[in-house]
Amino acid sequence: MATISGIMSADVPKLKRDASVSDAAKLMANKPYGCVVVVDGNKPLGIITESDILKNLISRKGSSRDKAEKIMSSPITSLSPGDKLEKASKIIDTKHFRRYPVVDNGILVGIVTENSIVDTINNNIKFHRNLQNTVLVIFVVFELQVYCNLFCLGAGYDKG
Amino acid sequence: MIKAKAIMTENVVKISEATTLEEAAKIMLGKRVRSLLVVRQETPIAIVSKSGIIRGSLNGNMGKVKIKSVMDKNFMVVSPEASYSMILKKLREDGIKRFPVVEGDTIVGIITETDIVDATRDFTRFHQIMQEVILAIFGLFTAFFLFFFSPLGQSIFG
Repeated sequence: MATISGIMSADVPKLKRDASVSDAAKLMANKPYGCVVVVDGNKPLGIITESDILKNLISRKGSSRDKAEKIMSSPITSLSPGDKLEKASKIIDTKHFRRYPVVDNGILVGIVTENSIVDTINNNIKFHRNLQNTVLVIFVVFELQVYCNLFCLGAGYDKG
Repeated sequence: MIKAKAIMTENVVKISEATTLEEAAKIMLGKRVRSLLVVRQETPIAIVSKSGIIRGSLNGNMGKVKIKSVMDKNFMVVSPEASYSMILKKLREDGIKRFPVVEGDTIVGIITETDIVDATRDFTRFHQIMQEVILAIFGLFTAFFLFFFSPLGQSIFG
């Protein structure tokens, strides 16, 4: 059974809590995830999304020199490396986030997107469906063969 | 076959290329959308995303910089009848993440990566249910088969 550790990326965009919003924007512009995890050492404290940055940029009270921890959302919704994809799928159903930090015993170890979870589940389903179809065909052929043999034998006995 | 019109978002927010980054950001947050469609006389010419606006904000005053400098022309116009599988293929193989849906000269919707992911989840669930139904039918058939040829079955069915 596939787990989060198999599809997560260890290259997490992360910032210290005293970094600025401007630092978060620069990091976000250079990484593909559209979010930044705010950390204290390796411990995740919160997450900053593109929307958080935009709100700060257009706010009259906001400044690009503000601390990252001021605009982050906390606590975060995280997954564990050992979580199964089905569990992750249920969390997506309730939380509706697009990215999830992966945390192992309080330590930030990776990040995973909704897209990669859905894609992997979809590919697994396709594999299982093909396997199931193959087994079904083999069994149906076997059963038909047994039917046929019985019928033919029966017919043979009648003639005899 | 699943069509584009079944998975598209009808709420398309259009702007012109003269819009500033600040105006675009306000529209995006106000309308709660992840991207804006840049049009010239109702013809889609580009897409603006949140990451594009953030990148643009690093290079100048958001109230003065026009979105023309940050807009993304990597999109593909599709018809409402376009197939889901074709759109998924374009996303996976060509990296196109946004598909304005145009019928005649009218923009009727937009399909983003989020719409495609949502649709994929729905289809995956449908396939899971179908798989279970097929297994159940096969299981019943096999049980009947085994029973039919058992001594008890032979005594009942002759």
